[in-house]
This record gives sequence, C-alpha cells and structure tokens, in this order.
Amino acid sequence: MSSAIQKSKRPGRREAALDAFSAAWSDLGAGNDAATALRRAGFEAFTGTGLPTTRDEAWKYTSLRKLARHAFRPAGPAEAPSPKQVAAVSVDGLDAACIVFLNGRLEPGLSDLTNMDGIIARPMASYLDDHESSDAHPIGTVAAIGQHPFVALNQAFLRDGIVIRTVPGRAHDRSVYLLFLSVPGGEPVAAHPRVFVDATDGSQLTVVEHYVGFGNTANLTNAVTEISLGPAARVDHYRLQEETANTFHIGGLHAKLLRDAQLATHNVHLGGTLARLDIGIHLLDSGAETVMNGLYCVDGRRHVDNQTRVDHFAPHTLSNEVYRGIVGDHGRAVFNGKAIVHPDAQKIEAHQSNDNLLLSPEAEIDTKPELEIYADDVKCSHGATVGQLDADALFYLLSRGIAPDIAHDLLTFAFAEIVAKRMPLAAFRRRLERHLAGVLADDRLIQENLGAER
Amino acid sequence: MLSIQDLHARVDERPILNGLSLDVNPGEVHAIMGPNGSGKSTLANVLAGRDGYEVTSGSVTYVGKDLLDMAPEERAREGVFLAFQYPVEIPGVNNAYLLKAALNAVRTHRGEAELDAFEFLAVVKEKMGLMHMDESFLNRGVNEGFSGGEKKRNEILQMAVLEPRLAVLDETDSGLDIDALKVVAAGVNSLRSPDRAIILVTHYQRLLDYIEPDFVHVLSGGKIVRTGDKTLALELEERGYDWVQEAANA
Amino acid sequence: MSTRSPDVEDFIGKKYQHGFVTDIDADTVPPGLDESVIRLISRKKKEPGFLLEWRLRAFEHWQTMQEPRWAHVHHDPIDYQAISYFSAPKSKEDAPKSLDEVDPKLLETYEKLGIPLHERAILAGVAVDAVFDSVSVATTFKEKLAEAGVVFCSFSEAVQNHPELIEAYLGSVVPYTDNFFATLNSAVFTDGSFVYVPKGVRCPMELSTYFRINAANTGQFERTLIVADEGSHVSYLEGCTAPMRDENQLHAAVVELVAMEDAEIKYSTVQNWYPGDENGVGGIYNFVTKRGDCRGDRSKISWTQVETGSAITWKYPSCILRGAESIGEFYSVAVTNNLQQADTGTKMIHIGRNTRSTIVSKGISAGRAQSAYRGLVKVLPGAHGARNHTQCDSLLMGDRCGAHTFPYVEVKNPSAKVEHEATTSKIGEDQLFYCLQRGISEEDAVNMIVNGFCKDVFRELPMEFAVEAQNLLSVSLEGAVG
Repeated sequence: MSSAIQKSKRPGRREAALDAFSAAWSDLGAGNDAATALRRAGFEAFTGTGLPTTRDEAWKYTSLRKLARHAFRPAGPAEAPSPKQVAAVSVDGLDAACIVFLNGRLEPGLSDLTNMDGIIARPMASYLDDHESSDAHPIGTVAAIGQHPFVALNQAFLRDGIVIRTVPGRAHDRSVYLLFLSVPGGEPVAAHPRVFVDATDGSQLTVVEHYVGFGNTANLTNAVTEISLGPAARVDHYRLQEETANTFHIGGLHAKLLRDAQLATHNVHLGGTLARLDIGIHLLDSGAETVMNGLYCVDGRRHVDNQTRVDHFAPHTLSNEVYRGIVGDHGRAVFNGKAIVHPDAQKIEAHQSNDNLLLSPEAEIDTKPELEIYADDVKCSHGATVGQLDADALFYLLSRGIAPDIAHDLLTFAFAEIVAKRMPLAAFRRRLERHLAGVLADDRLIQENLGAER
Repeated sequence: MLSIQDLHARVDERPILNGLSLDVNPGEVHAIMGPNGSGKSTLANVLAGRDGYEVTSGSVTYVGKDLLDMAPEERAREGVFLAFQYPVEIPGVNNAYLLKAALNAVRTHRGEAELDAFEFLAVVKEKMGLMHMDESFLNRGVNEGFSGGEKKRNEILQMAVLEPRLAVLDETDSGLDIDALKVVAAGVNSLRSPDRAIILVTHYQRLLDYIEPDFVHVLSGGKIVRTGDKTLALELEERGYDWVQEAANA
Repeated sequence: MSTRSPDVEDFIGKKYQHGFVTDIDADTVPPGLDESVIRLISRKKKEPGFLLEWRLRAFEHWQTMQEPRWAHVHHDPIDYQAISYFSAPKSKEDAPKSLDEVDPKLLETYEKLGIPLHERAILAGVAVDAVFDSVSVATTFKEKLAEAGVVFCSFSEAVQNHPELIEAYLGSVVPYTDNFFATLNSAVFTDGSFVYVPKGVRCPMELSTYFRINAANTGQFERTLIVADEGSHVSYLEGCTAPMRDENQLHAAVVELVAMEDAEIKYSTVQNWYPGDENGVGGIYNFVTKRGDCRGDRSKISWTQVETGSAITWKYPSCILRGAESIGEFYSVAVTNNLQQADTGTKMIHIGRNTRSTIVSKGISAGRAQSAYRGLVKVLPGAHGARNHTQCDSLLMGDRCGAHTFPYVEVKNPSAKVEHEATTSKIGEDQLFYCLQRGISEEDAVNMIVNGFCKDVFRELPMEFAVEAQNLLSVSLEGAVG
C-alpha cells in the first residue's frame, strides 16, 4: 500500500487542513510521558494515512475536499453563552448531571459535577495528568487509531473531554448529559473532545451527548467516545447532532461489550454541513447485545454519512439496527451498516434495516447494508429501501379531507416516528418530535396525534 | 405395540423424564395430560427421535423392536407418526412433493410399489376432502404462510395419507378454534382402527370431548402419576393438576 | 418436479470426475504477451484492420492497468507472461474413439444429470467423426435458424461474414477500457459466439440445445456478442451441467448483449468447471465480464445463472436500462463447496424512465467455501418511476464456510422505489427433522430443502436444464451435510 499522505497531497494542491493540523500539533504543550506517547501515536497514524478520499471504500460516498480547504485553528478560550442561552438549546426535562463543553473544552462555570449519584466524572486533562503510565488507564483501548483516521486525529490532540465511571452494580437513575457547544472563534476552530465511559459490572447508565452550534461558525467537531461495558453492564447512549449549517461534524462511537452487557445507541443527525458518524461495536462475550437506532433528516445542501459496524466475536450475541432517513432539497445521505460474524460466533442474531424517504429530485441516497458471515448457525437479515411516501396512505388521508401538505407531513412524521419510538428516554424523544413537528408545515395535527397517544 | 419401560431422558443436561412407563396396544387411544413442563412434549420428541433429547436409561419397544435404536426416518417408515406441536415452514418445497416423497418412502419400506403421480393424487384428494382442505394446499410451500389451524389440519392430512401404526399427536388442539378443532378431531376419529394406536398429548380436556380416549394418564415430574379412563380428564378439568400432583407426592 | 432415486449409494463420488490432461500441440504460440502476439492472432484469423487496431488499443490500455483487488477472493498472483495466447484447434487423435473408451465414472455423471444420450459422446470429447448422428442433429438446427434469418455462428466466422455488424456492436456495451480482465480479453480473444436476430424475429428455438453440443471446447478468452434487433426475441444458454474438459486455469470471457426496442434476450448460464480438489488445488479462475444494454424502449434482458464450478468465480452480469420501460432481471444460484470462492452479483443501472429490475440471488456455502454477493442498484436522475426489488439469500452448511453480502444502492431520483432484502441462515435443523420424521432420508431431505431454496431461480431456466440443474446441485453438495 502506498503511503496515504502522498495520496492526499496530490501535486499542485496543498490541503490547508493538513498543514494546520500539523502546525497545531507542534504547538501542543507537553504532557506527561504517557499522554505524549498517545498523542504521538495518534499523530503518526493520522499523517500516515492523511485525510481519506473517495477511493477509500469507507469514504466512497463522502468527499472531504471541502473540509480539507479549511485551516482549522486549535480552539482557544471563547466567550461562553449565557446560562439562559444554554438552557434554551438544552434538552429539557432530563434528570441529569449536565457537563458543558465549549469548542471541546470543559466549561466549569456552566457544568455541574457535584450531584453525580456516585458517578465519578473527571475532566480528561487532569485525568491524564494523574496517570503517568498509559497502562494505568484505558483511554484509547476501545477506539482504534488504525482504522479510523479521525480517531487518530482526535488522539493526536488528546486533552479535552471527560472520563466517567459508574458505581458497580448500581442502576443510576440520574443520567449524564454532555452538552458540546460550538461557538464562533474568529477563524474556524477544531475541537477534538474525547469521552470515555467505563460502565462497571452490573451498572446501568444513560448518557446523552448533544452537539449544538451557535452563530455562523464553520468549525470542525471531531468527537470520539469510547464505552467499555463490563459484565452485565447496561448503557443507553443518546447522541443528538444539531450543529450549524456550516459546521463539519465527524464523530466516532466505539464500544466493547463483555458478557451479558447491553448497549443501546440512539443516533440523531439534524445539523451540520457535513456530518459523519462511525459506530463500531465489539460484542466480545456471549449474551452481549446491542440495539442501534438512527434517524437523519437532511435538507439544504447538507451531507450526512452514518457508518455502523458490529463485530460478533462470541456465540449467543445479538445486534438489531434500525436506521431511517428523510432526505430533501439538495441533501445527500449515506448509510453503510456492516455486521460481521466471526468464526465460531454461533447462535447469533444480527438484524439490520435502513429505510429512506427521498423527497426531492436533487437529493441523493447511497445505502449499503453489508453482511460478512463466517459461522453457520446464525440468523441474519438486512434490508434497505429507498422510496417515497406511500401513495395509498396519502390518498386515504386526502379522501378524508386532509390537505395535501398536511397529509404529506403527517406521513413523513410517522415515518420518522418508527425510530423515535424505539428511544425510551422520554425527554430526548420529546425533543426530537418537537424538532420534527417544527420543520413540518403545520405541526398541529401531529401534536394532536402525539397528544392522543400520551 | 408400544412398551415404554422406566424411561429417563434429559434435554441440555436437565432431566425431564424420570422413570416413565407406558404400554399401548393396537386399537387403543391414550391421552397424556399434564401441566406445562411435565415432560409431555419431551415424550413425543423422544418417541420420534429428535436430536438433543438424550435417553439416559430405560427402554422403548415398538412392535417387538428397539425403537430407540432406530433413526428418525426409520421410525417413520416403521409407522411412527408425530403430529408436531409447531409444524415448521419449509419455503419453496410444496406440500404435494413432500407428501409424495414421504408416502413412497413408507411404501418402499413396506415392500409396496411406489405410487405414480396420478395414483398419488387420487389418494391425497380423497383424504383432503375428509379434512375440508382446498386443493390449492397441495401447491403451496410446506406450511408456508399457513394459519395455525391450517398447519394442524395439514398434520392430520399427512397422517391420513401415511397411515401410521402409531400416531403421536403433540398438542394438536393448541391454538385451534372450536370449528377447526372439530375438523381435526373428525379426521383423527376417522383414523381410529383396530390395528392403529394413537397417543394424544394435551394440556386441556377440551380435545377429549371430541376424541374419546380409552385411557387417560397424568404426567407430572417426568413420570405417569395416575392412570384412569376418560372420567379422569373431567376430574382434572374440575380440580386442576395440583390435586394429582399433591396426591402423587403424598 | 423430478423424482430422484433415493439410493444414497448411487451418488457419484464428490470428486470431480475429469482429470486434467496436458497435451503439447505443435501449433501453439510460446507463452508471453506483447504486440507481436496480438498481431499474430489477428493475422492467423485473417481479421480486418479495424479489429486489429481495436485489439492493439486494448493492449496498450491494459498495460496501464492493475489487477483488481476489491473482490472477496484470494488467489496466488497470475503470471500473464506464462500463458500461451494462441493455439490452433486441437487434433482429434488423442480423443477417445467411442464412448467405450471414456471414463465410466464420467458417463455415470451424465446419467445422473440426465444428459440426453446423443449428447454424451460429444461432451465426453469423443472424436467428432465417431458421433456423426449428433452432429447431424446440430446441422438440422442450423438450417432451421438460417430459414428464420437468425445469424448464429462462431465469432471468427462473423468477423469474416458480417464485419459490419461486428464493427457496429463490438465493445459498444463493454468498452475495451472497461476493466482489467475485459481489456485483456479485448486484446487477445480468440473466438466465441455471435448471434444476430433480425427485426421482428422470434428465434425458433432455444439456442441452448444447439450451443451445448457445439461449445464444449470454449477456449480461454471467449467473446460473445448477441444483438436482438427491434421486436425480436432470443433465448440463449451457455455452458452445461456436465463437467467440462478444460486445460486453462484462467478464464476471462466477455459477453455483450444488445437489445433494441421491444426486443428480449434471455441469457442462461450453467457453469460447472473444475473447482479444484478438496484441498483447493487446481481449479478454474472464472473472471467474466457480462453486460447487457437495454438500448431500446421496452426492451428486456434477463440473466439466469447456476454457478457450481470453478475454484474462483468473479462475475457480475449486469443490465444498463437505457430504454424507457426497459426491464433487467438477474436470477442466480451460486453453490460453493470445499475451498471454492465466489464473488458474484449484478449491476442494474437505471437510466430510462419507468425502468424495472429484479434481482434474486441464492448463495449456498458448504465446506470451507466463501461466497459473496456484490450488487449495485443505481438510479440516475432521469430514471423517473424506476423500480428495483432485490432478494438475496444465503444458506450455510457447515461451520467453516462464509457468506457475505455487499449491496450498493445509489438513488438520485425521488420517484424511484428500491428495496433490498437479504437473509442468511443455516439449513434448518427443524426442517431436516420434519422431513426425517416423514420417512425421507437425510440426503433427500437436504436436496429437497436446497432445491426449494433455489426454486425462484430454477423456474427461470429453460425446462430441460431446470431438471439438470437440480440434479447438479445435489451432486455439488454431496457430502456437505451429515
């Protein structure tokens, strides 16, 4: 394989982003040896491959040319929004400890680290300072830098973020709410926050990650979350992406599950000019289960790419994925779901579906649900559809006197609601439904429809 | 015809049958009743030779032969028929084809000539009339998209065509409405004959209103704890299974 | 539905019945490939100038290309300079003089597959003089075709007799720049078949029957071109259920189909080349480019394939749905056993309005085999009302095989409807037990279930081959379960 830094540096064209990353990396302050080693490994892995191109199978449908033209600066101190502004964008009704990040950096003034229901939450920077040896902490053991250039890039700038550890055996009623605010910083800035969740044996926790953009920023958010689930641990992970229409959002969500652990991921994309999330889940021991729900609404000229991969390494493991997308205007949505059943992972089940509504002649959907199976006693299925609203249903509504645009919205909403209903956290679901209803022409009917259900 | 002596069997290392004994003679209808988990379906599956049902001791003699020594298909060819509790769907394989292949396997085993397509259809159509089944059944995939009642009727149709010597009906009544139950019962009754024995495995007395058994056995804890005639079934219906279990434990 | 003899002992051994024979033929060009070899091929075949130039352009392009690596298959590197690119027709002297000299096991296989008596000698490679009767059967076919105005001949003959048709259509579906193997084929192909069905003509017979007799020796770089002019109809069957005698490891064929307005082409393939032994030694590498162009409105191209042979299969019979309301279909059964690898599927490119495509793919993996479905459904912006339905199922037999599904769906038109469904499952223990309980032997039960699994595809085969294909499956999977 030819070195990819050459690949990305085509003759005659410098990639501003790469140069800026290199410059920023050289300016990084020194940490202890362990942290420095991690950053160096990340930087070397990233420069070894450079930015992926559409010739890389995993990036076939997502071009980074636009991103590459931006010289993102490291995030410096930025003016914090007022608590009122923060409250206005937050998911309300959550019983949660709220931790706020500003361009990737933890903002103590807006965060509450006191009432944590016994959960240990440590800012990443001080956590790293306390661990002289990387053997002593698990950061970087779940998200692999080898396969994901942006994980490598995130690790190269490893400093900000949070480490969370549950109390073994405890079902934490109180959730952890991580609010990532992207605010204007003069020039476009890059944030590389890292979240590590250590879900100890038998514990249960709900984590909500919420990415919100302010103003007209063209920032880069490059967020990586690692979740390690011990035996019989359970994590419900929610991720709501509402960046500005100019922001580049690249995310990685990587998890390892031990025996009987359960992970549910709920991934919603509503913003960003280019949004991409890679989910990688390793089911390492029998009884491990994962549910993956996803919803993306793509309008304007936005581009959303969801890549999910589940590795069934052990027998009696289960994965179940439902992703739905609504794509209009000049939007483009990409989905690639991969289930890999490794040798001897017998008696597993892997199910996957991806359904898309394509609403405009300029929009595009590229979907690729894949199965790779090396065991025989398995039940696997996948399905993908691209289509429009059901003409019969539409006609039925019209024949009952409902106006065409409302009938249209109602059915669109119903399409999304199939996934929304799979998300148990009521506050999160309400937020999502409100958003959906808000972008539709007349939300009254939908509100009534929802009201009747509750 | 069938003699089960002190049968012990287990599934996944878990003992289910614990010393079950039962004798069945030609022409008899035996009902085996019992609460959930008492081992009813295990008995049916052991008799048919399903994998995963491990006989740890005891014997089963069928028409003078060691039944446990025979492969499932041999048992079938020797005239042991199991009507499944949950008949499986086999997409793409049509009913007529399965039935013809099965019938000819049995006939060949008996030293009879195989039936050609016309002879076969004549036989099967007659039996289908009996079961109130539409001819389109023949061209559908085995149990594919069948309702619960259709699946059970299909089982009895197969029984009628294959003419077994020993029929074991595993919860054939479950999931049937009363009309379907009557059709199935009429089918079973028409197959009663002096040289054929039938074992009805059931949880409910209801089926026995339509198929009158000669003997009723109550299975509990993996063995028969009480045997009587059809009045025992009525008593069970009235007093529940706890009464027998308590009586057995006493 | 055929009834099979239930005697398991009657099954032929699972070993491939025809060993490889190495002949040394005097009229063979030494191994290696350069421009002079291509000029030599063209000269020997007395080709017109345009064809030589086309070959040379292809060769020049090929030298800039690299062998593709993306397929889910593994093999040792191929030494393209070790292949001999031209050999004259083999002499008949080494061939058996009659069926009495043919390996009885091979004849047993023919019996098992239900190959008609008069064809067996030809398939077994008996010298043609000795099987005069069968040849006369072929001659009769040929006369009948000529009467209808259908041109059906070897590619070489077509170059001599219909150069204008070749010049007009060659490379119009698969350009010489298309891909590594197709480009190589364009430079060095030696022969193949050509069919032209004139306007409004319904080809009076399945070209299958004739073809099976004549094409037993297909060659390594085969090229097929079928043109169905407006309103015509043709059904063509390539290959044969019987094991084929072949000495070349690498096969890189190209098939181009052109369907004009209201024309229909049905192309069926049964491929049973030597798969290598149980340890994966030997076997054919079958790297084929097949593509059909629905050029006219309301045209239809239908691919049906039953693939049981070859060590490695790499092929994606595709349809370019250019004409409005044109239809593309792909029905496939791919069986892999032992160490076979198959990466196969299709591409449906929707360009015209109201175009429709159907994909049904059934993969069966046994032993240590790896089988992949790779498909692309692409709906371009102009393809209003395009419809696709894909059903892609895998059946696994044994815990060391693999089954993979890589479907690509790209949609750029909001009135399109595309549906992809796939399942993977083990051959059902419940299903097997149910059949055993009804007195059916395990071998027969497996055959029944597998044939049921493949029914949607077999239904698309010409009748006589459907029966053979079923038998072929049971022969290929012999010993896979139990």
